[in-house]
Amino acid sequence: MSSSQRMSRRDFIKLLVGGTAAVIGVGVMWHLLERSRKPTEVEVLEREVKKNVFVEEGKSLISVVRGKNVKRVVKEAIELLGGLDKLIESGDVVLLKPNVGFSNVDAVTTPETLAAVIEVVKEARPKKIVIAESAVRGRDTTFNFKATGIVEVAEKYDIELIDLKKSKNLVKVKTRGGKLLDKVSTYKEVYDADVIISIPKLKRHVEATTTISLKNMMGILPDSEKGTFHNLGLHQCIADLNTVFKPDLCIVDATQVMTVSGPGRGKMVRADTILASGDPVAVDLIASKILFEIEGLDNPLERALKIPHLRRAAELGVGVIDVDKIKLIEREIS
Amino acid sequence: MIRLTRRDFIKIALASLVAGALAKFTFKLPKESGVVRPPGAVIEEEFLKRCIRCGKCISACSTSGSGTLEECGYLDGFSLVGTPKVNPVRAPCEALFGKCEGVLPCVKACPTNALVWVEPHQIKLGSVKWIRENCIAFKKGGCLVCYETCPLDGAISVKEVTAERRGKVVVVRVPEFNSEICIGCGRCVNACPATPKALVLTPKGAKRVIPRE
Amino acid sequence: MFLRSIKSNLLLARALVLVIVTLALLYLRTTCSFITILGLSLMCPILALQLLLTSNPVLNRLALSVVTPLLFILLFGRVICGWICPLGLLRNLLSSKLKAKKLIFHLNGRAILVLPIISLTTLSLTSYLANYPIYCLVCPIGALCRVILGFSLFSFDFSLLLYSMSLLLVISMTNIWCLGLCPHGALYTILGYFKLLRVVNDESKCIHCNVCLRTCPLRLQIQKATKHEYASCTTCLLCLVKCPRSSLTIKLLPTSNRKR
Repeated sequence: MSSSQRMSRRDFIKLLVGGTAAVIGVGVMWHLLERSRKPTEVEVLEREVKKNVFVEEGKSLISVVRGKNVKRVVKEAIELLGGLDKLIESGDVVLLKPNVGFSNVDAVTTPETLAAVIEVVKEARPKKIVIAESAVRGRDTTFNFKATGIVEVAEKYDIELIDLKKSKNLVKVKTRGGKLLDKVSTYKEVYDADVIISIPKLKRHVEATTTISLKNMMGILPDSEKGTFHNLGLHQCIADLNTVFKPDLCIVDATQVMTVSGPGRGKMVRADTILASGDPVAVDLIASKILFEIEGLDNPLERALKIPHLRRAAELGVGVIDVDKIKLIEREIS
Repeated sequence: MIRLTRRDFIKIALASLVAGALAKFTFKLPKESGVVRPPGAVIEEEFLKRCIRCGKCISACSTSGSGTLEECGYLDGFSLVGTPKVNPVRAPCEALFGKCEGVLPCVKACPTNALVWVEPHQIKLGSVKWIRENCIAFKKGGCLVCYETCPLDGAISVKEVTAERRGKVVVVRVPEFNSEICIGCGRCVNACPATPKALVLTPKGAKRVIPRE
Repeated sequence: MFLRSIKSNLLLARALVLVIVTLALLYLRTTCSFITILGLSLMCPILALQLLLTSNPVLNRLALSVVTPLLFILLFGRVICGWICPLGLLRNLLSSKLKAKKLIFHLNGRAILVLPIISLTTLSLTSYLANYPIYCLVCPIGALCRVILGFSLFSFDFSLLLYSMSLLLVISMTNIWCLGLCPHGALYTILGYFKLLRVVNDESKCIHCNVCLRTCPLRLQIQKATKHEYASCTTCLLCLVKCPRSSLTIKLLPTSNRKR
């Protein structure tokens, strides 16, 4: 009796140990499964940034075209800069970055403007065109594509539409002189692009004052990185981001402008304007000035000059904020 | 090998009776559970009776919804185990202004009518609560993502308040929450970049379906 | 022929079935309380019992989903316990290694019925008094299914894992759960008196070595089986495989000269 009892106690302990090991094993397995769900990360990469090709006499060119026919206005705005042949080579992958952060059309780049840009870019015959976006935190990018009509535009022109939030290919890229960020997380699909064309909507922003080309680049970030920007300091982080992911061409959709408040809801004003430039800081400055003019505020240019992320981006060499180094070409199309 | 004696059987039977008595006197279905239920949920008492914890709503949400639903664990409450709850930190509920609007895959999947079909204007999952001490806008400014992402006009607005920063009294801009307008989708909670989060979704004010049978 | 292939790799066959069942649960993404497979709805009979006792109107709508599982049990008895229940399969794998003699129980004849009756009575009493299917909150099989569901949805509750693993540990140390305490097994035993599947002993070949008795996870005396042993048998076939004289066989229909 006693020997069998000893046996059973030993077995009991064995079972206990085995059971605990099983639980730990399950826990480890679960942890690994969870980890495999998160996108895998790579080493820190570097990225070359092209200089602004749309300059004249050492000044950043900005074209401001007004007119009712968006297709003609966009075409004219780009032509006034000198056309896309300077920018796009035949082997290039062009990334179009519209603002599709929200699901209401008022808050996003209008599909018509996007279509107009696509047509002009297609004429330059790049190797591939893609449209990519990572919507505002808390929002579903794919739903935004559908709800705003961007999906139809991509289908019509047979262009790959990328919901970056669904991509698992995260990369880390070194900033070029960033003060708060020495590297940013983004997606491989963005890193692999040769030319980045930012197509923001001219809007007010509750935190950044205005959201145009520079702020629009936050749409290449995963949600976690966007969170970091707000934790560390939004304006400086926007500037740091644009040192390495500077858009090569900006086409600001000011057909309908969100005034007074934003970026989700505001007073929409029809302005029928497109701005184009290779200098995101300069074009953001002028576009902000136009926005303040539409709102009827005094000293619109001074207000625009005070916007923190514009100043800091200029400090880091992303573009020029000095009005003397900007050449404006304005045109009206009937 | 042991044979069970009659005495053993009596011991087991008595233990069972004790268990039964305990069940009668200690088990009570809660009237409120403190968890946010999926859209179209009937009132909590009835919900706990109808929900057979099959997990079909959670699976449906995970495949064709946003993936916000998850099971209640033992820490949520013994009688709630296995029932679905909305966890906005995983994902917001897309039943309104989102991909599930007009579709409600969770409701479609429920075999026992614990979740019933509701029209968009009948959906209110709860409301959000602000935890000021964690809020980036309150502590140092530079964040109003909750306001940005909220799909409803007026549920979140920006308010200027005075606060002390580094010994000085300054005016800061913080979010203000209107729990009447809020539908409890949890987008703001999901978006909040603070750790720990400055927003939490509560079932307060939730519209639940009153069953007719 | 079927018997021969089963004999040579019973453990393999069991492992395969366990894998298929787990994969099916992972794929279906549902817990065992209500399974919809190939258009057919199947409700757990114990859940149905509790809904009946608590006069839950849900049962009226889903009454049909109770019929199929009950029919299956009436025909084949506890084969679910032997081949589908993950808890049962795990216990079977451990039973040959288990030497904790103090915890292995052995019952004969009518005594077999006592545990199922106690189990079902307790369950009915507690559910009725609480006016709620209270057993489902503690059911180890339900807990295990929810753990599997948690895996397939990448949503995890550590308290659930802890609970189900501790239960598994306790239950695998003894055979009293599968013998008659488990309400599912209890119900299937009581309904299984008329089942068609039986493990029958050929008295002419039997040498009364009692290997079958020692191998049986439920410690049933299958070589001298009465209708009670037949009802409680889970058709796990471990005895059949281990029998040195192959005197045990599966019979689909009860023979006319069955031993009483």
